[in-house]
Amino acid sequence: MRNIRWVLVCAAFVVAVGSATSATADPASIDWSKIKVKTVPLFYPGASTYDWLLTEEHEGYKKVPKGAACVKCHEDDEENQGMAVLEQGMAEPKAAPNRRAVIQLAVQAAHDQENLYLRFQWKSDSKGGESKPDGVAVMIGDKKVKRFSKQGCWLSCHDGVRDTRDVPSEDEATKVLNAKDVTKYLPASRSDDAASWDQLKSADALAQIRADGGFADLWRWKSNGETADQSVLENRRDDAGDSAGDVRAEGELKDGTYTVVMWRKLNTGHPEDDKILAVKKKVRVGFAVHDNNVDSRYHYTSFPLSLGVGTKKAAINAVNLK
Amino acid sequence: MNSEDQGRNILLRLWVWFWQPSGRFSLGVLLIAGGVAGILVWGGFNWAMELSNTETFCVSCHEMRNTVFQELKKTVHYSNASGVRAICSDCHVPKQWGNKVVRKVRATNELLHKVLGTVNTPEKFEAARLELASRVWASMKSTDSRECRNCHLTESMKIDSQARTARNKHKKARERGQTCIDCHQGIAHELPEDWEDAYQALMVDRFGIVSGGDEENEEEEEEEEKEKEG
Repeated sequence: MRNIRWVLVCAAFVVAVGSATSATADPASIDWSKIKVKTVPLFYPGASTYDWLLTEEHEGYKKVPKGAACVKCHEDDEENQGMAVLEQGMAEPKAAPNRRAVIQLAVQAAHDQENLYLRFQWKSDSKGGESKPDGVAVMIGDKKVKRFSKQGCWLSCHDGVRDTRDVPSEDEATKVLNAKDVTKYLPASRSDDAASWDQLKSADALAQIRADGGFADLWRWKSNGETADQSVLENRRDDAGDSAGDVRAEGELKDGTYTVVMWRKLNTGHPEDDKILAVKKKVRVGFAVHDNNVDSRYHYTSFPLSLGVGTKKAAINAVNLK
Repeated sequence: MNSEDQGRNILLRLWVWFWQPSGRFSLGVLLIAGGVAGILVWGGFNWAMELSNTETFCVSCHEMRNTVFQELKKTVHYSNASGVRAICSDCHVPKQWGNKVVRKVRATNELLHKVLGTVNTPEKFEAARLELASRVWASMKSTDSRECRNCHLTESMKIDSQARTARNKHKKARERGQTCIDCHQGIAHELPEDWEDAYQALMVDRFGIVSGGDEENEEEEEEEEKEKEG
C-alpha cells in the first residue's frame, strides 16, 4: 500500500514537472521569424500632458474629458504630431536635443499556457554607453481603467511631473503625496475634472479603485539591465512583496537595432497590482521608447491599441506557441 | 329649401361674384391693389419668418439663453479674429426657402415643449442633451451637413494650407465620403456624456454606416488583413 502511494506521488510529480516545462517556452528559443510583426509608430509627444490636452492649444480639448479616442482625430497622424512638437513647438516648454518626430517600433507577441512574451525592435540613434539608459515600456489597461482603451498613456501624464509644467518642489509634493516628486497617475485618482496632481482622493477611495482594478500595469526594460514591474494609479509604484519582479526581460543593442524580449506570467496571482491576462482575452496597451540619452518625458509614445492573447480580434495578436 | 341647399347657394353666388368683371374698380386699381396686398402678405410672412431666425428671438427663451447660447459664446463660431459670427439659425435653419418653411413648421413642436416645460431647468436640459444632440446629428448627416456648407465649402478649402492634423483628416474624410458632422460634433456646444458611442450607434441604426477610425474597426481591418494574407 505504501509502495503504491509512493508510485502515485512520483507519477504526479513527473506529470506536474512535465506539463510545467512543456507549457513554458524558453524565451531565447522562440522562433520569432514565424510570428507576425506589427509595426507601431511612436511619436515624440513633447509635454502633451493630460492638462495640456484640455487647453485650447489642443483643438480637441472639449472632446478629451468626454472620452474621445485620440485616434478619432489622430488616425495615422503620428508623424504629424511629432512634427507639430518639433517644428512648431506645440506642447513643448523645454526641448530636448536630437528628437525624431516618429520612430517605428516592431512588436511581436506570443504566449503559452504560462506566459505572455513580447518582442520589441527599433532602430536606435544611440551609440551605446550614453549616461541615460535607453529602454522600452508597456502600459496595460483594460475596461476597468476608465477611458484607457481610448486615451491610453495620455491619461497618466500630467503637469507637475518632472520636465513638464508647474513642477512642485520636493516639500510641496511631499505634503500632498508623501513622495518627493509627482510621477504618472490616472485621473480617477484625483478629485477635480482637471485631474490636478495635488487633488488626491482619500486613501480609502484609492484603495477601492485599486481593488476594482482601476489601475494600469506598467512593464519596463532599461538598457542598464534594470527591469521594472510597476502599476499606476495615484502614482507609479513598484509592485511589492510577492508581486514584485513578475516582469522579466532581456535586450541588446546590435548593429544599431535594439531587440528586447519581455515576458510575464499570464496570471501572476496578484490582481491588486498586475493586470491578469488570459487566453482569448484582450487588453489595451500603449508603448514608449526612451532612446538616445534621454529620460522622463523625452520618450516616443504610441496611441493605445489592443493586444489579444490567442485571439485574432486584436491589433496585436499573441500567437499560441503550443 | 332646406339649410343644405341654402349653403350651397351662397357658395355658388360667391363663386360667380368672384369671377365677374368688376363694375366699380378699374383694372389698374385692381392690379395695383392686388400687387400691394400680395407684397404685404408675402413680405409679412417672410418678415415674420426672418424675425424668428434672429439671435434675439432664439435666445428669448431661457432654455436656449442659459444653456446652449452660453456655450456658443465660448466658441470660434461666436467670436474670432475675422469677426464673422454664426448665429443659431445659420447652423440650425436651412437657407433654402422650402426647407426653411419645413423646419419652421417642425419648430412649432418646440412651442409645445416650451409649454410642457420639457427642458426648463438645467438638470432637465442635461438629461435631454444626448437626445437633442442626436437629433441634430441625424439631421446634419442626412443633409450632408448642408448648413455647415452654407459657409464652408470643401471645394474652396486649401487643404495643403491647413494644419497637419486637419490636412490628414480632411483628406481621409474626402476619400471616405464623410461629412462635416462626422467629426465636428460639439463644435459650438458642450458634448453629452458618451457622445462618441452614441454617435456611432446612431450612424449604424439610422444610416447603416459603420464609421471608420475607431478601435473596433481597426480590429476588423486587422482581421481582414490577416484573411487576405492567410
